[in-house]
Amino acid sequence: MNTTKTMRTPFYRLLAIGLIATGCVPAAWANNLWSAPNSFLGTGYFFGPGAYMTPTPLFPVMIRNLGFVSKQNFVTPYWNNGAAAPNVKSEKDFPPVDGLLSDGTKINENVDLGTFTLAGVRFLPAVAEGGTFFGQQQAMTAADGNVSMDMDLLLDLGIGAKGIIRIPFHGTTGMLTVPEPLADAKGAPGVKQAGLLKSGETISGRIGDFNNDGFIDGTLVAIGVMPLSSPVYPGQPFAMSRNFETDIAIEGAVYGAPKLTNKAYGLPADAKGKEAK
Amino acid sequence: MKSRYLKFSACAALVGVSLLSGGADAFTVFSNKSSYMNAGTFYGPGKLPASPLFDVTIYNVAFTSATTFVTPFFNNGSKEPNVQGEIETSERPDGYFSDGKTPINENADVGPFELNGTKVLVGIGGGGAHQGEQISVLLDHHTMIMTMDIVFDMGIGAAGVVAAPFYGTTREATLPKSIQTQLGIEGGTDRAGALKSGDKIHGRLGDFNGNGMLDGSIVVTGNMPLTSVFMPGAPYALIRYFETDLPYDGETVGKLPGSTADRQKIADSATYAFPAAEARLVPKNIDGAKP
Repeated sequence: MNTTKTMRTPFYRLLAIGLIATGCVPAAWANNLWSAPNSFLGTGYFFGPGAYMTPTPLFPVMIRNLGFVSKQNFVTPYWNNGAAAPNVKSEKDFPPVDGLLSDGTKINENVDLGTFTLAGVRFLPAVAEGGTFFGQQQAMTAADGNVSMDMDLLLDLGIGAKGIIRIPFHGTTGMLTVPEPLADAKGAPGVKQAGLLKSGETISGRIGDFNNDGFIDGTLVAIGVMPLSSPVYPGQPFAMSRNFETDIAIEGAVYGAPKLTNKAYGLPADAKGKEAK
Repeated sequence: MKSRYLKFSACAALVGVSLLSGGADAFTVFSNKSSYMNAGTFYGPGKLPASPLFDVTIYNVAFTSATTFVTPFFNNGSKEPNVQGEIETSERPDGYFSDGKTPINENADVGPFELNGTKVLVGIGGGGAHQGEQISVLLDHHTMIMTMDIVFDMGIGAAGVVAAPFYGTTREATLPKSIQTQLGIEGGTDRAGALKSGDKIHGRLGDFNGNGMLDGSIVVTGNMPLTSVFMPGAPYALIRYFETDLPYDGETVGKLPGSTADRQKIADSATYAFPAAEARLVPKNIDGAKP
């Protein structure tokens, strides 16, 4: 290995340290998606549920270790190592910090979400093991370039199983329609609104490189209805707009090429590769 | 392989997300008796003669960076898909090794391994240092390393489940001495079949079959743990030939199809187009989400 050239950028220095220390690449090398008060356009807002009229600032998000399973689709794998670091930020507000929801369900610790305060009630939001997606977060790119993200989002009140709300989350940078409320057990219709948004209205996001840093960013919109079993706002529609940034190059990047790896190390691109031909 | 591929795709369609279990899109690493150069050879442990390696197909290999590939941990218990090795060594496949508590990463479909006349279940085990994942990294000089927690299961319960760190490389590996010899204890066997401790074996990475896709061979050496009921402390080696459906020149990922203008047309037709709609909907005194 050409050590001098290997060390010439923080990227390769960190890679070398990671390899020496662990024998494998550290998590820092994966792609990431984030949304925080200090990121481009802030986190975004939660509307509703139902007649709760005040838009609520969304919690911060850091999704680590996005893995591309094809040219445009990526997955955040399920990963949990219990109380060992890293833990998700919101666990600090819901001790103990053990990698678990209050009913013992394991959190996907690649999806690091901050505490969510809605109408004065604090929740630990998380993606967790099991469910439709086996604890993964999955993103798919449509032919028109819009990206959708799906996961089982859990809101944990911290009081055990009865305080955990599991919401199927479908977000997109395209367009969605604010849903109707669920009728209660007696068939009474709920409130036909998600805060300031009315059922039947449409909301849309966007995707591109709007902050011109060379990486994909945008706004996801999501809609849903609180489950009837929820202790708060049962059956009520909600919507949200989530601004995000990523470190995914807008022009794409070539992955998995030994020749390019050689080049990055300062070697002829086809070192040892000529043997391959 | 094909039918499993389709099952994965069908499963994904059922839940409305084509990425679930990702079979349709992720790339695949495979090594079997009919693939280029065959599956490979296992040497030892100890005095045991060389054995043909078991078949393996690793599905859903994902890029986490330009130089790193991960096979995510996936286990859905007794439901399909189960790994071929478990199907052939167990009457009722349940997704676990025979200790009943170590889950198998079912993305790594490993066939049964016949070692010295005995069928052994080999797989990637969950819960260890790699959390059940298989991780590969590209280095310089066409070197790729592959690490995982590999488990050998004799099928007799916890006593016969041997977990070992797997560190494979396409470069070079040296056969170690037995752990007994390393500790100065008598009785060690400093060989793995025909290989003697100190012998070096080499792998390679490139496109040797000329089909435009990455292929090569990975070499591994190691010792059975002293706690193993089977050849404790003895060295072993293996050479694994593999093919992939990953282009040798790499894959461009993350580039969005379509144009910004096309996407904007959709946005313009919505009642509220975000993030611009925030200004219409969010009172100025609510600022917790903004820079």
